[in-house]
Amino acid sequence: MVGAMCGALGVYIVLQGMSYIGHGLAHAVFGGAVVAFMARWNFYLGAGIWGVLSALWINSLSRRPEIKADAAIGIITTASFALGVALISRARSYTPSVEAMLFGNILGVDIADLLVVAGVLVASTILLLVYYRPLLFHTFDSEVAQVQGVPTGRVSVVFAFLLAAVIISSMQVLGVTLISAVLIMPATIARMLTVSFGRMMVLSILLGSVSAGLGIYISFYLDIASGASIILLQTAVFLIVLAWASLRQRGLHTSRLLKNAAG
Amino acid sequence: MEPQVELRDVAIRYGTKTVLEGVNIHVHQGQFLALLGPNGSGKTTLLKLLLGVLQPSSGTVSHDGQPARRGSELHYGYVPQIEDVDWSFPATVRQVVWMGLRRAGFWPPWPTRGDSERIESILERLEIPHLVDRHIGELSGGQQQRVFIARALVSDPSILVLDEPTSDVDVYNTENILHLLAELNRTGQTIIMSTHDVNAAATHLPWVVCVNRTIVAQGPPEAILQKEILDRTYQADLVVLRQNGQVFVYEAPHSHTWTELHPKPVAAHAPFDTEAGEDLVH
Repeated sequence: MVGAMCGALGVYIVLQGMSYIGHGLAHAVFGGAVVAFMARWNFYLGAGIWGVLSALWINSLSRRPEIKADAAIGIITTASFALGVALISRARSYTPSVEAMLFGNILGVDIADLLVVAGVLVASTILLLVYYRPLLFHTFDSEVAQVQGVPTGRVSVVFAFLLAAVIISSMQVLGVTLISAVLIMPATIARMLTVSFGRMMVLSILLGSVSAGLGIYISFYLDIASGASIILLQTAVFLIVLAWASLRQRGLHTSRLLKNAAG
Repeated sequence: MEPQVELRDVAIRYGTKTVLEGVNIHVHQGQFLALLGPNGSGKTTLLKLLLGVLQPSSGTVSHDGQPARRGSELHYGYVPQIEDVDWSFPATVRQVVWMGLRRAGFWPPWPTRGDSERIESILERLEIPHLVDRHIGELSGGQQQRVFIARALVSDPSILVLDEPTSDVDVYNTENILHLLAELNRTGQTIIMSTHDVNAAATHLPWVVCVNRTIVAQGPPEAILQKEILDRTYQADLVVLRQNGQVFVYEAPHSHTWTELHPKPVAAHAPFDTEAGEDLVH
């Protein structure tokens, strides 16, 4: 479920050239998660409110002409992460649940976590289907989309909410430090395999979910963190596809040269 | 009759910097208007004011005599500069044109039969139906422009706005695009475009607005394309020639010749830093 959600959202993130957003938002959410953990609030409540506010703040800051998106992400997320680190160091209690937040631990996932992931999966599927066309237009060319009637402000806010929800619900499995790779990797691999948006989406979801499932099995047998295992598997697929794409490109180049020479 | 769009004494400022001021323009139904000026003169800013992407610092923008507001009946089809577009984006011509359709809601997330018929009919009108399933990155500059014009037209816009549609395309495609726009205008389509190509404006466009931080002059090309007006618009010494009722504009030669500026040019294939190279030159 986590792999499929990350695979779907990753397509929009990669095509908008905002790969850093997943990394940043996961770090921002960590601040909220630590505050919730210290104050003994519900994890999803603390991290959720914090994540959504961070996403909206990044969105509004990056609209200012003097602040670029990468700077807005960098400022808000590192400040939030630093707050989380400061609180942990002050409490001097580096507990396993904080470690699970950072690196992911599938064994720490209980039935409540599974229900949250399932709820976010259903909500994100519905929203991505409803907003498919406006989100596609907004991703391709936001200014023209706005002129031609797409409510780009609302589309950005919906996407920010979705991203925050997916990151928070995936934190237990993947961990803050590794979540961005799972958002980016399947979409990047899919992009190398196709030039069609629809096929890229399907491939990215498939790659995300299959590699997450296999990665969890591998993590169980090799006794390593689930997030790390999923990402190492995706990296292996990425390297294979990269090698194949390079060979294919070289083959095309050679055949073009031969054709030109013959012609 | 009320103009479709009217800008009255509009100015745009960023802090203390004034980008545009004293702008008064009105655009009537069926008009074909070109904003003419050098790079950085404020043409794109003026287009964005018309489109509602930017709000004026002072002055008013009206649609059909009413203050411009979101959700008004008047809507635009917009063709941006093609160099601003990510041509590696994974989309086919069909998907790009489908993006431009205005529909009552967002559902369903795939083209309906009605959508497909509309897309095919607009591609037919622009004489590119054979490109429908091609990836946008595979197209030539002229074809890319046509695809973007199709996306802008697919929802029957009140006004078609194009930002430098002839930049980055060759002479043949420039002619084709301007001819296509003239055809569209003949069917009643209101068109506003920006261009820095003064000769294209002189030859093809019925109404020219010269822009350089303000409106320098506006009117039909034969009245507007005068040396004094163009010198003020382009801040350059231009030569205006009239022949058989046509206007040709080019930059006056500089007082220095090329050889005066470069007394020792390097010859083609001359080795660097050797006297042999100079021998080749002389």
